Amino acid sequence: MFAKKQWLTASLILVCIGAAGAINILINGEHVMGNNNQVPWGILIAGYVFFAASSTGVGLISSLGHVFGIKRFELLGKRALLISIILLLCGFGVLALELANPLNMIYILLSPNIKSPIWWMGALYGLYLLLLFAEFYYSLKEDHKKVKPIANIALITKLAAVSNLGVVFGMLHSRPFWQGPYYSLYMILTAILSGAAILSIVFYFVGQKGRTVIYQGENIVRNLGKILAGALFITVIFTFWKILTSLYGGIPGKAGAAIALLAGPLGLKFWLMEIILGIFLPLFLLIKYSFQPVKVMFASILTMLGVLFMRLDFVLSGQIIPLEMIEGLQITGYNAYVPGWSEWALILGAIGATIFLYMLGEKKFNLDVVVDIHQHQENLASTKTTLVKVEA
Amino acid sequence: MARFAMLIDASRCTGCNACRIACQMQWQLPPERYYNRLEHNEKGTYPNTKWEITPIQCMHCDNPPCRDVCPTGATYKRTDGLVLIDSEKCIGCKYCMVACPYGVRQINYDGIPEKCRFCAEYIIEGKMPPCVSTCMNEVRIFGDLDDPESKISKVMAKKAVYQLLPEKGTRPRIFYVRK
Ligand code: SF4
Ligand code: SF4
Repeated sequence: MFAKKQWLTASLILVCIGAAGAINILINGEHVMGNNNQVPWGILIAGYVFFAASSTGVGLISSLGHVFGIKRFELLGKRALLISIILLLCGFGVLALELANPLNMIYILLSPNIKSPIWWMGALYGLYLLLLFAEFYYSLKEDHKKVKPIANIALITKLAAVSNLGVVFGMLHSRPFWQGPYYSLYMILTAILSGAAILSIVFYFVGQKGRTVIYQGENIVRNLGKILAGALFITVIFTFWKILTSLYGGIPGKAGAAIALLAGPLGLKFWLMEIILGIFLPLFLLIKYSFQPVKVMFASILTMLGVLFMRLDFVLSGQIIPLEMIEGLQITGYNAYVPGWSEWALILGAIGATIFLYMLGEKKFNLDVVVDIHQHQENLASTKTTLVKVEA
Repeated sequence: MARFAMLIDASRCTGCNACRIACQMQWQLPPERYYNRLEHNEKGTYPNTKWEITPIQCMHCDNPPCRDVCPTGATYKRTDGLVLIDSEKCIGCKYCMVACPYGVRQINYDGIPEKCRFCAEYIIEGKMPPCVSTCMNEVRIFGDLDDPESKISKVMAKKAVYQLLPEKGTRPRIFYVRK
């Protein structure tokens, strides 16, 4: 599709846009951002959730290979680890710029409050990053004896980290739409969704470069496409029941947020970006074309676009209804939130940085995994036979 | 040890906003930032309607969610009950803002979510917070609930009071006189 040079240029342009946004935020502070006293968390928090959950999702899917021993997923190996690391670093970068005083983070260690879900988020994602580095290091050295136990601990850590990400919101009794365990499960599910989509995109292009993406005659992108379709289906079910239970009974704070998504200020983002472009169109592409790798790749790009808006809808829907603290107070209207250009620029920059760093990683490291040498030879033979057949 | 609290008789409030301005003067706040506010609510049906006003500010909750969620312990509760913020420790995550069910926190110029501090430095010298002393109708009474001779203790012993959002379990230190 695109040449390497075009990818590189596009990613660097995005990085420059992101740098402009970052500089504006660093110089002018909160005031160039859209968040306000009524909507304290904006698009950068959504962006952080987008990157952190995607990193975890990529990790969860690659665990199918190196923890659960499903051979075909071992193909994902080092590439999945590298993507996970890059996504998490980009997520941390976005979060650091959202925080007003990131240098004070030293107090997370000096005076920790272990009752705080954000403290746990820092601890678990920090640990996850260390484990990812260790796993990647030993994978590069092909030291599988060390990789295995690290991968096992990493699996528990990533499950804890991503479900805790939902708890950060679920613990808030002040925000009825978020409160409860729902978002912990939703985070795990949608992490798998974005993980499958990102791996599909990467492995489609890796396959285009002539690297091994075939196991027992089947392209791994097809398998990832099936996981993606499954996750999309379950996301539809989750979203349907979340909206319906929120509407039911007209509970203040909950019903209003659901209406804001269905027919309020978030309606366009919800229906067009999250549901139609992000869920139904990818599902259609996947099923209609029976998981053809190129269609899986297109479906995945759409899914990721949808997931970005899904995160934004999620963060805003919890805060869009004005707090009701006086009985019978007539609440009119919604809390307003319009993100600043710097915030959008930063998100684009982080996407650019992800692509750029991944390409750098492909150049610097040997990321190919030979699952089974006999299998590999068989694959080569079958590819040759297919080529001969096609030519004939 | 003192147990500071505030009693608000909202039915006496004229809606003049002097409390809000006095607080803004005390803490040198710009016009768009305020640590106390008046909520207006229209009650009844035409022609028998009335404007109900409720002054709102940080409730200095005894079980404050803003403290519980703060990752660095920047938000803390003093032994006399005041909920305060140590700006040296605050990372500016704004978790306390989303956790507060009363929506009283305001981002200041350093990105720190500030709020009513019950005038921590003044009350220990025996002075009254300006929102109390400035009010022409004595809507607010501030004092020590552990002192049976304090005005707040005496008035609260006689009046029926309530708190806002008791179902959230925050146990506010601001009480309202039942209408
Ligand atoms: S009113 Fe809000 S800011 Fe004040 S102590 Fe209670 S939860 Fe914290
Ligand atoms: S913004 Fe500051 S005070 Fe509020 S929760 Fe975060 S660290 Fe604590």
